[in-house]
Amino acid sequence: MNFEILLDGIKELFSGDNWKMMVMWIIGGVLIFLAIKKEMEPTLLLPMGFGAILVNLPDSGAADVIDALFDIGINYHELFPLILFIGIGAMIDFEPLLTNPKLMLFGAAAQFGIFFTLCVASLFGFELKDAASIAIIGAADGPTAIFVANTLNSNYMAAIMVAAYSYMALVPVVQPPIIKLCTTKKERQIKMEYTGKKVSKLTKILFPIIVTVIVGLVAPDAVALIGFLMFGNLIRECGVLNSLSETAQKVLANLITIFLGITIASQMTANEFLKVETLVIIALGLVAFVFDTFAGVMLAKFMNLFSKKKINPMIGAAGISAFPMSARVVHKLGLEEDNTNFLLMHSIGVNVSGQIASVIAGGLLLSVVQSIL
Amino acid sequence: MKKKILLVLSLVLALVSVFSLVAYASEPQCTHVDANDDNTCDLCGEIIQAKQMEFKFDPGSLGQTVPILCTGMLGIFIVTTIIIAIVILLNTILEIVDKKRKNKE
Repeated sequence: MNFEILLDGIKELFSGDNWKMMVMWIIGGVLIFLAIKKEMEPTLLLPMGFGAILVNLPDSGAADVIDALFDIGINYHELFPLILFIGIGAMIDFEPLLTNPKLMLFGAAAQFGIFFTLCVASLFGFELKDAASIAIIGAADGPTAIFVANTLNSNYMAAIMVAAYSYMALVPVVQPPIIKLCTTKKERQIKMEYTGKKVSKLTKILFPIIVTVIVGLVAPDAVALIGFLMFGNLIRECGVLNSLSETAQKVLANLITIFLGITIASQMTANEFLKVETLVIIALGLVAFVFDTFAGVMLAKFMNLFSKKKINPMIGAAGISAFPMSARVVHKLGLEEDNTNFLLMHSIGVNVSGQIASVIAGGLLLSVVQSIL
Repeated sequence: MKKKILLVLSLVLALVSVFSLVAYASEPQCTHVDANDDNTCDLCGEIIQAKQMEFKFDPGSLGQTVPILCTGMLGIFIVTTIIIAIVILLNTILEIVDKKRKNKE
C-alpha cells in the first residue's frame, strides 16, 4: 500500500501558505458555533460555516462541486437570491404598511447608511464597485447584497456575505444603543394610535403590481429583485394560490437557503478570505447599520417638528430591512420605557417598507455605479 | 425654532450639494476599465497597476461618491413618494366606491 498517497493531504497542509486553511476551519467552526449555540441566522451561518471547512481542505474535491453551484446559482443571473425573494415575498404581509403608507418614508430614510458607507469605503481606497458592494451590507438583506455584489463583480463577495448575515443576526445588539443615543426618554415614551383600518383585497393585489411597475420604470436594474419579491407577494395575496404560497414560503425558501449558504462558502477560500480587507469590510458593515438606524430615527424626529400627531422616533429605526428583528427590537424598547406602549404594528409597517426600500436602494446603487464604471 | 432648524438644514444641504458638484466637476478622472486584464485602461490607454487593494485616505473620492449619495437618496424618496401617493389614491377611490355601494344597498 502506498502510504505517501494517503498522506499527501496532510503533507500539503503544512506546506507554504496552507496553514491559512486551518484558520478557515476555525472560522467555519465559529460560524457553526454562532449558528447553533447563539442561534444567529442559523439557516445561513451553519451552511456557510460547514462550507468554509469543506472548501478549505487540501485538494478539496468538494470545491469544484460548490464552484459549480456558485456558477449556476449566483453567477448565472443571480438565480438563488432571486428565487429566494419569491419565498420572502410570499412571507410578507404588507397590510400594516398599506393602512399607513406614509411609513414608507422611514424605509427610504433608513437606506442612508448604504450610501454613506459607499462614501466611507471609497475614502479608504476601495474601488467604486467594491465600495458599492460593501455599502449594500447596509440593505440588511442577504439576497439584495448577493445580487448587487455579484452584478458588480466584487472581489470581496464572501466577506460581504458573512458581514451582511452576521449583522442581520446582530440587529438586537447593534440597534438599541444607537436608538437610545439619538432619542430622549420622553420621545421613546410617545404613544402612537393604531387605527387598524381594513385594507381591501384589491389594494393588496394591486400593490405588488404597482410597485413592480414603478420601480421597474425608475430603477430598471432593481426590477428583477423587486419583481420576484412582489411576485411572491402576489401569490400570497391573490387568494387562489394558497398551496403555491405555502410552498414558496416554506419549501422553496428553505431549499434555496440550504444551497445559498453552502454556495457562498465557495468564496471563503483561505487566500480570498484571510485579508485585512475582510476586517475592514466587517467594520464598514457596522457603519452601514449604525447610519441606517440613525437616519431612520432622525427622519421621524424631523417629521415630529411639523406633525400634530407625534411619531415615536424609534419606529424610524425599523426602516432597515432585517425583518422582523428590527420591528421587534423597537417594540421591545417601547415596552421598556412604558409597558403600555405597543409599537409593534407601526414598526412592522416600517420594517416591511424597509424591505421594499432596500431593494430600490440596491437597484439605484447598481444603476448609478454601473453608469460610472 | 422650526424655521431656524429648517434654515440650518437647508444651508447644510446646499453646502454639501455645491461642494460635491464642484469636486465632481473639477476632477474628471478616468475610471479605468480593463476588461481584457492586460493592465492597460481600455478607455484612456493608460497603463494601470494590477488590481491590488491599497488602503489610503482618498478625500478626492468624495467628488464621485457624494453625488451618488445625493442621487441615490433622492431617487429612493422619489420612488417611495410615488408609491405612497398611488396607495393613498387607491385607498381613497376604493373607500368611495365601497361607500357608494353600501348606500345603494
